[in-house]
Amino acid sequence: MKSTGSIYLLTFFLILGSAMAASAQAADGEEQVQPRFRAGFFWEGYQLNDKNLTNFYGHYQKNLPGFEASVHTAYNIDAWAAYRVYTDEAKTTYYGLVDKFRLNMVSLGALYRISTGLLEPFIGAGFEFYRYSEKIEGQTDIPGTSDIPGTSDSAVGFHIQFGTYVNITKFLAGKFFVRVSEVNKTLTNPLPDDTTKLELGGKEFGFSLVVRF
Amino acid sequence: MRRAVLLLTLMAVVVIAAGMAISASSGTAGTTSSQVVQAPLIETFKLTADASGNWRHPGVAEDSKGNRLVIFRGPSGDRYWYAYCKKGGSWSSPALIPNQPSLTNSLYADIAVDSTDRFHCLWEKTNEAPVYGSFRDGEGWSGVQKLPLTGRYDLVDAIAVRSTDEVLAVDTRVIGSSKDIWLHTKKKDQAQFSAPKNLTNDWEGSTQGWLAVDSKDHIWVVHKSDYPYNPDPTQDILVIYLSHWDQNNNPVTIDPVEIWQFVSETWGWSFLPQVAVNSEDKVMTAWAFALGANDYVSRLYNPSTKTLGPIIPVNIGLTRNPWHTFYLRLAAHGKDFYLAVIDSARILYLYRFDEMTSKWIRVAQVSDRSVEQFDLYSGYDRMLVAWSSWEDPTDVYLTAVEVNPLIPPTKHLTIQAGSGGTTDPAPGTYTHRTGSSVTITAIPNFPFEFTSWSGDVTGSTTSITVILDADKTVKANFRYLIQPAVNVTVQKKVERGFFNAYYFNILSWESNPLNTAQGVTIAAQRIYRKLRTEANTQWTRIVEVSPTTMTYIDRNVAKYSDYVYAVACVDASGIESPFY
Repeated sequence: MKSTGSIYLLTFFLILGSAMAASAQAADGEEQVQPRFRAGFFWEGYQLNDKNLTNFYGHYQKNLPGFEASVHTAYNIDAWAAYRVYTDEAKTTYYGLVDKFRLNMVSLGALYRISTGLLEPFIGAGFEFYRYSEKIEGQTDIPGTSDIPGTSDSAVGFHIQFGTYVNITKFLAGKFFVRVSEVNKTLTNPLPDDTTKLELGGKEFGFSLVVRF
Repeated sequence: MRRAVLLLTLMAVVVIAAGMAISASSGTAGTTSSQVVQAPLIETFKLTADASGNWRHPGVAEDSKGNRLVIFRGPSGDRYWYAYCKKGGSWSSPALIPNQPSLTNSLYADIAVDSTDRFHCLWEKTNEAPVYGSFRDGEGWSGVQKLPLTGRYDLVDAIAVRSTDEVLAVDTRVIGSSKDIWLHTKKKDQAQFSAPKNLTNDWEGSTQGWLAVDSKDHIWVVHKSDYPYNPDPTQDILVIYLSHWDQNNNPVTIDPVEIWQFVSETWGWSFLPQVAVNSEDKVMTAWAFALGANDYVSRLYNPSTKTLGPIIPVNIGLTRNPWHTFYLRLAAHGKDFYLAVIDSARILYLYRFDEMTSKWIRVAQVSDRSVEQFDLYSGYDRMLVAWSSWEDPTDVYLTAVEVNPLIPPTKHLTIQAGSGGTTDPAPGTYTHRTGSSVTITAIPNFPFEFTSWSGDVTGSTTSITVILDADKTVKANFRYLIQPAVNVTVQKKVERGFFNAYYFNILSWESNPLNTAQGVTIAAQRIYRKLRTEANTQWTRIVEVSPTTMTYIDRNVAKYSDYVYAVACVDASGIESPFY
């Protein structure tokens, strides 16, 4: 409930900001030259859809950094890419060995951005390319008891997103975004609880500091 | 003249020698001989309780230890008395058999001895049920009772014992004009006789039954019968029958063997048939008849060849006499048959059957005076004849005629049990008939196991059959059976990551205190496993661990499978304990 409320609050501020930027641009009435490239670092909250996974590792949401870049193409459309890494850690059920989970996420998509001066609201969609792995680290003093095999595999999905840039200077902007992704994987080897479906997509929301050039 | 003097002197010596032999009182066994030809030794005791005069109708028997029991009709004639003599001792004073129902006029006694040296006695009186009582050295009398049938009874009753110590008695019951031979049985340790069985349902007029038991515990019964289908009422047809019954008292042959038929235009009586079975299971029958040739006769039946021999007369030289002249008793002694009969002067003689010549040979003159009634019993090395005097009916005599010693009729079986178990029959010393077989079962106590028999037998089967052709000692040996570990517990565990897991069971157990108490050295422990739903034949050994290990992790388990475990211990000789 808490995170859902945050999304609503963030959406409210994005819409409010867009309206304020549109009204300011209309008041200035001057035409500005748009930089073609944008690159930035972001900080986001990631809420994985897979309840088995979040229950096992114990975190409903992880906050993680990421990198993104985009290039303007034509007709207010940017080609956009992002990379971030989701990690979590737990202990095995009996021996308490360290169980590390890592999810490398690459996003490729397009943004449709409206330039209104101070604010540049956008919407976008694209594909998600994930690589996940699990690794058990540690050893007990009982031979043969630490051989839970590691796992790694990949999954592909898609996303949609929306948000707004907030132009701070000519070369610097902030960005607020919400992204929803769907990345499902059918497992060949079921999980110990016999589940075969892995839902690696989730909800992301955060902000970026973007350099425009 | 000198020749006459010498002749008279020689006759006098012969007469004196014979007289000394006959009149010896309370004699003991003299020198042994392989075949007795001299006059018998006689030991005599005399009733002192009463001098009023009564026929004594004695019965006699000897147990395997040489102890002797004589029973006889008491002073008033309504009850039986007894006298007992332990081997090498003196006779007890005659005394009344206790707890005895009154029969008014008791008659016809017979005694049999079982494998435990218990004397089984039977006596009866005309028109009443026979009375049974048993006596054992050191225990005295017990179980004195009337046989269960009521009704009118005819004279003559006989008792015998099977190798199982089942007591058998035959008697004659008279119902209206019908007379039948009834068999009474009392199994060992059974207090009362069972309901009797009519052996002669189909043969009317059956009386004077007698029985003997062979080595297979079959019963042979003789009796006389009025010819059942006599078409001519002017004739009296009497028949002697021999019938054969198995160990369950069922007839072996559907019809009895008719061994003699007597047809007379006058009344015939007093046949008193007797039967005995020797150590070769040959069946001798003997009876008397009063008319015609006037003699005792016998007939031998060989069951193995199913041949009935000729009628053999005893040739005692009877003359026509009162009916009570004709009295006889037959007994087997080893493979020999002996017959006690009285002659026309009522002098009692003992005869032995010579199978080679098929003749009865006189062995001894038993009495030096006329005899009223008598009983014959085969002792170890004596044929015992208890008899009462015709002239002086208060006296009862016992004459012991030396004969070839028997292979002891009984053997002693000593059963022992080693530490850790017992046997069935329980350890102890038992007396059984020579040649009989006894099955002994070893019964180990927990936690021991039977290993072997030792002594006079060998083997390792739990039950073993011992043939008592000699005194034997048998010991059941047991050994401690190493026991499995105890308190085996299983914890089902799972070691899980997110994507993978493995399952395992943690076992723990404790050493068995019984092994510790027995000082057993455990060489190894073997862990067995099966699915809970599997049968006990599905146990699989999964690992052998050291004797000091008390825990084990079984990682080779399938998800969701429910296993049960057992831990067997192995001793230094490699013997593994049971484990389930």
